[in-house]
Amino acid sequence: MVSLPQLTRVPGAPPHLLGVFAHRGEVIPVIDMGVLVGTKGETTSRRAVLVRVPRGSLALTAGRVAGVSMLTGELHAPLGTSGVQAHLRGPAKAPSGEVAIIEPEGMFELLSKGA
Amino acid sequence: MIAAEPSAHIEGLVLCRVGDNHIAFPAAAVGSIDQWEPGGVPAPHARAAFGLPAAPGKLLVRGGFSLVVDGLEIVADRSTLLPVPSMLLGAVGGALRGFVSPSAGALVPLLGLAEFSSFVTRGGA
Amino acid sequence: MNPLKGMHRWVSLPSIWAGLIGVGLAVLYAAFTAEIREGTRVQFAVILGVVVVVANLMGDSYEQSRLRTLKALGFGLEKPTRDNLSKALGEASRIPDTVFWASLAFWVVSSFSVGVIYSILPGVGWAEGSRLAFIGLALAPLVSVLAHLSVLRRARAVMSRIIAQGVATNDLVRALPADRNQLQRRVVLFVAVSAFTPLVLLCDLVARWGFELLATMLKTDEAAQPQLLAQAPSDGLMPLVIITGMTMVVVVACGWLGGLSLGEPLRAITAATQRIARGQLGKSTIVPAEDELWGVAAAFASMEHQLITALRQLKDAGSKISSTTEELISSSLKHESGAADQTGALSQTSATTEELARSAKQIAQNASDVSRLAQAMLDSAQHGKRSAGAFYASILRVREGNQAIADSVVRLNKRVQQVGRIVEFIDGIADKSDLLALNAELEGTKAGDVGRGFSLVAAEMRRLSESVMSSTREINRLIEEIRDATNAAVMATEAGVKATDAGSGLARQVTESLDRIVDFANQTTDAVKAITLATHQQQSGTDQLAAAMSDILRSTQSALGATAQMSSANTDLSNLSGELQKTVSRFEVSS
Repeated sequence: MVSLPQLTRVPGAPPHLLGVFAHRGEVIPVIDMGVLVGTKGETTSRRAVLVRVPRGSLALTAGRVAGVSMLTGELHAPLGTSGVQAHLRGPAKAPSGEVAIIEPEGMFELLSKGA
Repeated sequence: MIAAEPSAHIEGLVLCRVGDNHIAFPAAAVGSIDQWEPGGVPAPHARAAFGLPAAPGKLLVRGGFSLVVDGLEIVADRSTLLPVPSMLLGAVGGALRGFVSPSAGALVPLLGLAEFSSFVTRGGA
Repeated sequence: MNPLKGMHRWVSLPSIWAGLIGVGLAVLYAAFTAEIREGTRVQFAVILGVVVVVANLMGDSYEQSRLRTLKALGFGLEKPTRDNLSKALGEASRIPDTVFWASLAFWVVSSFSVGVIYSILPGVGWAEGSRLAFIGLALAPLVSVLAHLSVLRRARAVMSRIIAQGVATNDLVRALPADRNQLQRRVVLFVAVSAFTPLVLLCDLVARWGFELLATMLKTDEAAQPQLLAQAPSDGLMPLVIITGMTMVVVVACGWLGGLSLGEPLRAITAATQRIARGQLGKSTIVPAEDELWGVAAAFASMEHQLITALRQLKDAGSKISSTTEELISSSLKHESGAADQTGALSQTSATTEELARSAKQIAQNASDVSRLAQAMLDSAQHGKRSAGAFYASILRVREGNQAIADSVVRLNKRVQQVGRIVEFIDGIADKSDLLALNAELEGTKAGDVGRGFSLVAAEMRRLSESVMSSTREINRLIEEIRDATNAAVMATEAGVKATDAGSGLARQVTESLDRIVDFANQTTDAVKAITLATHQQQSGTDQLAAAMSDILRSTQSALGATAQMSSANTDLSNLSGELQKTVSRFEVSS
């Protein structure tokens, strides 16, 4: 979880790519999950979740961090067969209610193709 | 690929201002600089890539490619070049070469003039 | 229905009856006196009948000839005009006398005719014929008087009818002049005839009877004579009594008729007089009569006519006086109230005039003050005029100054524009220099370490150019400010020029006005002097007026008293006229 500095916009970038920022000598792209899943808003957020996958890193903006919780049990089925939904699983039970679980690697792949 | 090499440097940058944003070109990639007015020589405008309308500015020319920016300055000092993140490989029509930091805390995308000119001409966004 | 129809016949009819009565009397007398010889009685009757019929026819015809107009009116052959009625009236009034004289004449002629004709009968002597003529002559006056009196009454009745046809009193008096005063003669004649006829007849009868007795005694012997004498009165008494009685009846009838002919008009006049005394003056009464009686009746009728006329005039005059007096009273009342008002008004006027006199004094005083004020005003106005002239001159100087400022500002504006063009030029050069320096710096940078110094120089030059450009931007900004300021100054000076124009116009107007004011003030001073003089004169005039008003007021008050007296006199007059009307109204005058 990081606090976002001034973001540098990339020319010709898609709407969900808010920009990039330098973090420990590495350029991290920032993805607006609200735009990606189709809900408006949360673009003014200054917080993001830094996700590391084997191929690289990315930051996902979060409107509000509800808390950290352990999830147990079997793996949930994807929410859809294509697009973003293919890389979201759930719903899973959490203390704050039902949540969708992001599959980081699939998501990274998807964004790399679309970008 | 340069972008893939970590901890590189670059000398001689043309740092351009486009609205509130900045882009950079390697000085070697720019042939000459000229004045540009709307209605003047037909040329792609970098403002289009940020969704902004055309405005008077400077015209960068190299070979058959040209690009209009709002203003520019030349940075002769060495600048740190950061590689393109793997997620953005191939972005901006393949014009993105990396990110430079001409001053502390600043991060400017370094572009190839010819590729970016073509990208803007195609209307890619 | 014609009221005069048959009147001509009706009025003269009694003459025939009177003649027949006379004939009856004569025959009776002749029979008693045995004048008619035996054997001639039939002849005598025939002679008598023929003579009576002829005489009557002739007499009637004569009488009718004297009633020609009445007859024509009766048959409707003539119209009842004033002339015709007057003529008929005259005929009716004369017919009794006509009848008398005609009757007398025809009796005399007839008596002689009968006597003569009877005398020439065989066996009849002149003595017997003359006896018959004597009897007729003896009866002639009585018969004529009888005829006259009986016709007289009818004649009066006819006259009344004719008068009722609408004969005016004046016409009546003219038609029947009341100048024949023959009443005395008539009464004498009437008395004479009444006495004469019975006397003659009685004398004749007694003489006749005496002669017969004497003749009888002469024929008889002496022994029988005493017896005859004793018997004689009783023999001759019967015829005497009868004849005398008959004659007396006729005489008394004549007397009765004569008395009536005198009494009737007098009674009628008496009744009319009593009626007038009661105040009833209906229509003027005309009593047909003859001689002095007619004179009385005519005079009475005239008198009543005059009285009616006078009363009518009096009544009219009374009502006129009454209405006039009422008008007089009302007008006098009005006049009285008017006079009172006038007096009141005059009192007010008098008071006002006195006030006027006081005011005139005040005005004279005020006029003097005004005169002083006017002089002061004139001085002020002249002072004001001088000040306004000075103000006007100042305004003109201000205007010139404003104009000069405006020209300077315009020149400044032009200069600033020129400076702007120069700065623009400099800016262009700086821009180009900047671009050149930029390209030079680029080239230097591209050359790497070799071009580093070149790049530094170019960058320095670029900074210089940018500094020039920033200076020109500053100059442009200043020029814009100057331009705005000069524009504002131009507008301000134009407004100032306009204001000074208006101010100078106003100042000129003020000067002109003050010129006029000075003129007016001059005139006013003159006028005020004239007014002062006039008010002094007026003051004495108003004093005189006040005195005159007091005199008039006194006169009007006395006139008001006189008017009140006149009003009361008018009221008296009105009361008098009321009494007059009341008196006159006691007489009923109907038209």
